[in-house]
Amino acid sequence: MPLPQLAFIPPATDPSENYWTSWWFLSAVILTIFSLLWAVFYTRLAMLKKQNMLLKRAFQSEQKALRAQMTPHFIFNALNSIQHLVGNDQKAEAVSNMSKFSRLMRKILHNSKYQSIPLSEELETLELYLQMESLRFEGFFQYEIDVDAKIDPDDVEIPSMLIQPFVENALWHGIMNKKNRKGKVHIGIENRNDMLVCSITDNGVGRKAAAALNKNTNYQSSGMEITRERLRILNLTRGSSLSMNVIDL
Amino acid sequence: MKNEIKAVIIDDEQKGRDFLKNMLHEFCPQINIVATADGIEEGLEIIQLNEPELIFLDIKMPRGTGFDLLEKLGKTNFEVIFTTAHDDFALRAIKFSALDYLLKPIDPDELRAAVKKVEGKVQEPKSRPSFDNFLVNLQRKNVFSQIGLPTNDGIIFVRVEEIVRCQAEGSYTNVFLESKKSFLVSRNLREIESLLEESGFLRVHKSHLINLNHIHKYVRGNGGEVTMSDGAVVEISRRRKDILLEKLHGSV
Repeated sequence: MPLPQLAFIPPATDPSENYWTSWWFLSAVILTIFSLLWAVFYTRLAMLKKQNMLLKRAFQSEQKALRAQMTPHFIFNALNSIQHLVGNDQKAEAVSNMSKFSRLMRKILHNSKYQSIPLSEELETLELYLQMESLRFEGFFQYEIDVDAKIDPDDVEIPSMLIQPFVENALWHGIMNKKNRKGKVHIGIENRNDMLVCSITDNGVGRKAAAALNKNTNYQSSGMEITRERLRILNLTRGSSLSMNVIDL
Repeated sequence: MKNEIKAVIIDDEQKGRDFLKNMLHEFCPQINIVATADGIEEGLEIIQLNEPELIFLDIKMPRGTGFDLLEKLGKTNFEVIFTTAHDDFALRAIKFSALDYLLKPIDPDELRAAVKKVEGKVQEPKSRPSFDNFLVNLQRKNVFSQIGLPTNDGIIFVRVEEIVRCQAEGSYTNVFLESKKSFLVSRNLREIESLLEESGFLRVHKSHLINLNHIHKYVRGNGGEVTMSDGAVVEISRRRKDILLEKLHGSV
């Protein structure tokens, strides 16, 4: 007698009843996939935003530090010059230079809090700085600040303490090295094709000669490098197109 | 024993020379300024002409620095007190070689102290100061290999890598070398720390400064303890423990 054979008959199903093809399941799956993707993108975006914010802040604090670096050099030279006046019994000059120095310090401290300041502010600060430096040079150098009449210095803003390092360089490396220290520094501000161009010209000994004289001190013209770096950072964070150029005449 | 000391001033600023001259006149009358110069060229002339015992030497001068002058002179038989307005690399090199200096604007008390120190050296001329070590350090830019440590007898020059650790002894410091030698330096621990902190040294305790490259092992504890390459066990203060661990892990 043959064994009874059980035939396996799959239960009858209606394709539309399969849970894995029903519309709600499909849409649930699609929705989940999309929301997963969205979640991934969103967190990634948030992370990038945060990174960007941190980078920006890092740049800004670096800028602050760079700005601060430029003054110590000059501060002690100025104080030293004032000490000489006192020791030399030049009371009136000592008194007036001390207050001039304080005014300069106040301006610098004030300006360093801001990313940009009016051109007029920067020029006033520069004027004070040059007056103090002429103390050290015992009046042997002349300076001239020339602003194009078409420019309104109160209306134009520039990054603070940008021009001073160049002037300091011109004085220290260029004119200081001259035998008789009879030097001239000319600072010109003009408007060229809607770009503000500031040129600092000196009749000092020139870069090659200055470098040769300074080879043993390991003293770098850090002011220039610092400014270059500052300009780079400014361009990155503010989308500006600042540039600098040194021309040997 | 003569009291007067023959000296010259080399500084590019006329006002600076006059000022220092006046200050010496008022605060250190035993110093006799026989000549002044405004730069290297003139400086070399007056030194050869007058053979001074002491030179007040400005560092930053337009047509060459004070260091250039020393290089040109080679052998020296005078003491030098550097003057500078800037606390920078050059000053660090000077401090590293235990040379004398004055920061501008000049403080009268510091001037007096510096002169007094020189007086002691001039009256008991031992080996004349060698600026070779100093000039070598200068060339190496920021990595000073040899440090000059002042002791009661003079200045001992050691290679930084030879120093295992330093321990405070009041206003002096005991310096221990890997050769098991040790000597007492007439500087306090904080001063030594400021010189060596950029050369791989860490102040792990109020009284201990150690060379991280000479650590043999670190044992945990409240602050912990460190065994140095010479076998000495140094206690770490609780507050410095984290910094130490950070530095140790960073170098792995």
